[in-house]
Amino acid sequence: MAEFRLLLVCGLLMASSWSTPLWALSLTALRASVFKIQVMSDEPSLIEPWKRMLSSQGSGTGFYIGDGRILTNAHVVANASFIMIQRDGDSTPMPAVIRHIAHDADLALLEPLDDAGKKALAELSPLTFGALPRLRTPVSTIGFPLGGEQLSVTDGVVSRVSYRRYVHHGSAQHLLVQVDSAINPGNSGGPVVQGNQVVGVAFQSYAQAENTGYIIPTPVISRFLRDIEDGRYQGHPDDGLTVTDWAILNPSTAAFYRLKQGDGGVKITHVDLWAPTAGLLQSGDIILAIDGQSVGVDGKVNFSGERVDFRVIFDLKLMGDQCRFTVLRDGLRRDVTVAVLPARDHHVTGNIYARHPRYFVYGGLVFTVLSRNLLRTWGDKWYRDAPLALRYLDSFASYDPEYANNQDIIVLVKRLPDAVNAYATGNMFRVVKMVDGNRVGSISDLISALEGGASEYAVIGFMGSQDPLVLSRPQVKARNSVINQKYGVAPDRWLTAADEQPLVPARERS
Amino acid sequence: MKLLIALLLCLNTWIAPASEAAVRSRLEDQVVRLLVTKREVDHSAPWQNEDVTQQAFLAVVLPAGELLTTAYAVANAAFLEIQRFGSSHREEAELIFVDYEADLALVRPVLPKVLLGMKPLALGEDLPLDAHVDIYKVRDAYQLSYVPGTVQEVGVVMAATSAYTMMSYNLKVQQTGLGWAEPILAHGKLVALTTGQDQNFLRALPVSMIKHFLNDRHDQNYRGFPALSVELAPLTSPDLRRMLHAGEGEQGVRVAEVFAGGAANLVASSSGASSSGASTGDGKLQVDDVILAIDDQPVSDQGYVSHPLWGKVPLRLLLNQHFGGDALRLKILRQGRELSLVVNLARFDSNKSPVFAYRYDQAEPHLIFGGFVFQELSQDYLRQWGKDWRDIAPIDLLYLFNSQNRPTADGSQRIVFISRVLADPMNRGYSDIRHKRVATVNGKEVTSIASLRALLKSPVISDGVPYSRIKLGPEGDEVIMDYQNLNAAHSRIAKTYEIKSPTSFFTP
Repeated sequence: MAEFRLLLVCGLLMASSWSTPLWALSLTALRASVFKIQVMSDEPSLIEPWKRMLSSQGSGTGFYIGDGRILTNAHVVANASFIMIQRDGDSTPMPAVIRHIAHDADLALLEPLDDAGKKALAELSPLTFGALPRLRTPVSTIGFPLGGEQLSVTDGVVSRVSYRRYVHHGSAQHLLVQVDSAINPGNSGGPVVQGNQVVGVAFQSYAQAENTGYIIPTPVISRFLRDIEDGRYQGHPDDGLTVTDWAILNPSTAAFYRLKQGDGGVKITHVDLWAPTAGLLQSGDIILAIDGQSVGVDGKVNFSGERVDFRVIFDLKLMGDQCRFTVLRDGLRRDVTVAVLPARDHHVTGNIYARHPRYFVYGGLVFTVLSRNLLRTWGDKWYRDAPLALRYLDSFASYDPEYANNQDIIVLVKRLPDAVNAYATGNMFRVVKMVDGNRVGSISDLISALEGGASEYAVIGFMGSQDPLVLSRPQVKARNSVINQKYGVAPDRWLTAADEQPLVPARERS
Repeated sequence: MKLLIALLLCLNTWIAPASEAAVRSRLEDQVVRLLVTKREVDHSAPWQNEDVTQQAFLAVVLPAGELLTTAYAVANAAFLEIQRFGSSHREEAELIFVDYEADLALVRPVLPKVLLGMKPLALGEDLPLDAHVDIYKVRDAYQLSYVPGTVQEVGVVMAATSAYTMMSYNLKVQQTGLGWAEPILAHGKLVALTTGQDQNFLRALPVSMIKHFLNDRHDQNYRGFPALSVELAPLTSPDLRRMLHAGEGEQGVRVAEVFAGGAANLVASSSGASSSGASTGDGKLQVDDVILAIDDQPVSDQGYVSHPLWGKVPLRLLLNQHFGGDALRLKILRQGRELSLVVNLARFDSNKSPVFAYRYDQAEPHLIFGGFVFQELSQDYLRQWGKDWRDIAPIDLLYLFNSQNRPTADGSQRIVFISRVLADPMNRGYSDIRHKRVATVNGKEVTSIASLRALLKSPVISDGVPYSRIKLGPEGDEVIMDYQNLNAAHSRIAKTYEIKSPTSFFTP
């Protein structure tokens, strides 16, 4: 399961020195615009979410792309409290801040904090971007991987173009390119070049295989740069589609839909309620083409000369764009135009990057939301050690009619002991389903139900349990401030969007 | 050093009390080895069996030439043999009676004369905690040796062969490798039979449960062991107590769930007088009822009752002492009113829950349709993932097992799933499907392999061709297959995968 790893160096690993020979003329020009990025970070606590956990230190790579901006990976600077950038060949690092961060695409733009830094940057020549690299063409990865302090360059060739999971986000999939050169921790955010042009950003590797590095290719980078042109990042759209690849390969199934060999197409098995495609596409539709591009029985389309998942086309769109699906429904071909819009609020299977995850503390009981980071508190083997209900919802919440519409999957993660909650011990890590017999689908629902309920007793019902938790509202009211004070809970709730992230490190804001 | 250990080992034998040696030599005429050849269904390919294995257990001689052992010993047995101590002869034996719920069984030699000269072992009484007992195990196949043990606790545990919670001793012993139906004696009488071991803790069925089984078996109509068919939850929270008008104190346990078809639904009611006013119940236990007393024994807020020998024991232990069909007197509190109920306890049946708890010595229901292997979900299937199966088996199947497994009224509801696809040109494109629950076939819910077979017999017709539409969960994938080349495909599959039972395949 933990197949990918991020290429960030954590802690202080710099020891030996090992210089890389210059290998090409163009490198001299390129390396002048490559930066080592050192980051101090502190993460939100998942179990006591009003706190942030102590600093850790990491390093990665970034490069100048013009307009005072340095491009790197989101995971290099996520949760940063302090960022230093140091140009290859410069003796002094300079402080920097995040201007934009895209956790779904694992990209971030930094800029120098002070005018001196901005001035220094203005003198550099920005790196420029090329196209999606072709298979078997050579690429060079430039960065500061572990094993030395100097800039390192490794050569390899492009071995695959595919659509796969970006591990920093945890569940989002985008276009990526696999290369066979050694890409190691510290390379994160570094440019991958072909000649004088950047064709990708190094970002993750495959833990179980040698020589499999992954780079974020230019179509994803340029989408990010276009997305932020209006000053804010809206993110990749989510098509909310589950499809059965290969179903139309089956002769029976193809005949049932009166499809001939070569017609291609993939069958939609599920459309998420919160997706922009909801109500337009439906389960049972066969997607024959997207934006006029034929979709094969393998679910792939031609994209810049490679065969990749059809979703790449939708995934690279910006909010406000349109996407035309050609589908077979009830025996008729029809075009369905989907307006690309942000998804409605819903439970996202992935990591949360926020000042705090959403939470609410009531009578010393800490309720927060299910996320990949929360599951990871069970350790590296969370996919077997975490409670089954949480693992089930992590995989299947959007298919389970009971939870498909939830904005949050609410989990009781901690009891801060007090007389009012003395008997809540049996309900730890259960998923909250109801309060006073009514469904609650978000932390805000939970707050209104618990605080707004008129009855003396608040009855909290949990998923898969017939043993509710009963709390006396007057007693909780009387004890809340005492409990919160005793355990340092402040504030007692956090409701902003799960992915909201301060663009300027906290130290500078406050 | 080696010499010292050898010496100590010898000493250990020498210093065994004389009375123990006498018991042991007498016991060799009261206990036999039971050699079991087992043949279990291959749960991932249910048309064939696993490799044959052999296991050795013990069996205790009872009057009338019967031998007592655990149900686990005889489960999936293809061939039984007994061997007397001091003899190298093996004699064929047969199963007479088994109760998998209770994990007890009776066998006998095919030729009664085999037991000539053997004497029944007398049955003792239940023991208090901390009692010292002697556990008899086989040493070098020809003689018995003894291991001392102490009764550490008494509680209820799930039987090794079923989902029934059964009274059990937890014994502390200094030896591993036990739990194969070894007899446990005190004062020369049988007081328990071992059923399994976790490290230094040995589980054993107390003799009162053995007597329950034997007495029941001797009056023709076996009634078995009952359960209340409700889920109980602690009533410790003062807030919950006030909400249910359960008053102060620590008496009464909450009824959290009432299962269909169980005892609690089939009740006769009677009026009961109490200080808070006499009243008559409507004859059924309900969610949020508070059980105050059972058989006039007060029940604590955590579901414990007081036992004359063992003190505080789980309420379920009290139910073990009853028989299926018994009337049970309950005192309950419903919305603050005290009621008396008489409940008819039904015999417990593990397999009334959708996920099969056990299915010994029986073919496993399955059906192959176009290479798709359909099975009914069972604990045996999930156990294939090894000792950590509760954590690592496929999440959706575990979820069904954990949360969609309430007993149903007639017990016929099953969870049907596709375990795998036997790749064939007919199922091209679908051959990656594994461990997927089946939601509907041709628009109708599938509740068993039998219902699947029936639903496949009414295909949908499109362009004059019959098709079946098989909807899978939880994502909602759908398989669409026609019947035109079904027989040819089945012949190919039977040949390729060597499936010799024609009944494994669907026939239109």
